[in-house]
Amino acid sequence: MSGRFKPAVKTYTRPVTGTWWKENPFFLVYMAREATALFVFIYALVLLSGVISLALGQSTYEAWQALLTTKTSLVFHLVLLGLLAYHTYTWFKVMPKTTPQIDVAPQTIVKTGVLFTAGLSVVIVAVLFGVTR
Amino acid sequence: MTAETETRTIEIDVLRYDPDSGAPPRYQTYKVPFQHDTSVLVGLQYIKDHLDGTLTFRWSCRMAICGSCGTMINGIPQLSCHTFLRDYWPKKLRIDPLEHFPIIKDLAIDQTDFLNKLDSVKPYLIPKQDKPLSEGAYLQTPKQMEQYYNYSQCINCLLCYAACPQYGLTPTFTGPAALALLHRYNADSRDVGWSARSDVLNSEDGVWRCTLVGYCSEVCPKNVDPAHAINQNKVNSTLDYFGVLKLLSTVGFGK
Repeated sequence: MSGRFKPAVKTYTRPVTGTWWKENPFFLVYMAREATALFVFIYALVLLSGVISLALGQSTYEAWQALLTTKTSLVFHLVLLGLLAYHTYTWFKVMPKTTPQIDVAPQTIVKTGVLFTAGLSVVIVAVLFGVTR
Repeated sequence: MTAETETRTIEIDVLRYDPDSGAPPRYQTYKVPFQHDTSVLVGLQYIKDHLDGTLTFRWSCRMAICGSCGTMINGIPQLSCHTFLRDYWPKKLRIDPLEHFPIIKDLAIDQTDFLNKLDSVKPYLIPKQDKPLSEGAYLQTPKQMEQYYNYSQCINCLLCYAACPQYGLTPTFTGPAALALLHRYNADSRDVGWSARSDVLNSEDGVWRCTLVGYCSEVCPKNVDPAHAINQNKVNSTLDYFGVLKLLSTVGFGK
């Protein structure tokens, strides 16, 4: 950055390596948060494939539904559920950093967010279960 | 002899760089005697006074106020006056200059980039109108002071910059301390300088360059929480973009 202060004439600049994130456990946790976002994208593709199969007709949609009930698909969904739950939690963990200056303990903000989401998820599952029975 | 007064010896690897030789930096090992209350800074001073007078490092207050003695201690940005050799013994200790800054000599880094960034955020009160001294101080309530107080505790030690991978990868990023100080003044009820600072805050190298790693707040020795200052301003920056901030201020909301 240019400005009124001028840099020292002779300095040595250390390069940032491609493995900087392996050098500190804090950065590993950060990268885990960022990497699990990829699985949110993958699950979005699963849902999108359902919408496309629905547009292609009843038989395609039924084939897609049948595919979802296979053992491989169930395991895949369980793994995705775990990774997405972790990803969601990581964002609640940093939520206190995004709020205005308020007189509430950071842990209270995190717990409230997690409990609200967990409660809402239970309600949605219950409603869907009731509707589809 | 109690553990408090017992003298032990620890090996310290210090990164050395001599700009005159032009050779790349290398580690040099020193054996330093220490007691229970010997800080890393006192260890460095022992090296300078008794083992190697050519070692260069910055320090001043010895009590975590001046922000001069920041170094990487075993890869963690810390104030060397605030860190004790006893916590590393019997293992070796590695001391590097603060990450992401050019090295001038040994542990002394070039702070110019930060100084220019600090300058760019106008880190001073911009009052609505100047008033003569005879009219007294600008007053504010304790509640108004709470809005900025912890950000005003920054000592410019630059540990947060050494902790920020985004600054390492993109040195044009305004960075944690400068943005925390930008917020310190914007959040002050006596200040009306939002528009004067908004170009820096709203730019790509302002708050939007931060990806909320959050390590800056972890290493801050004064609990300034730069990550909080930056990320709450992503909301403010968005509101500013859509003109909501201006609207809120015209109807009397905000500070």
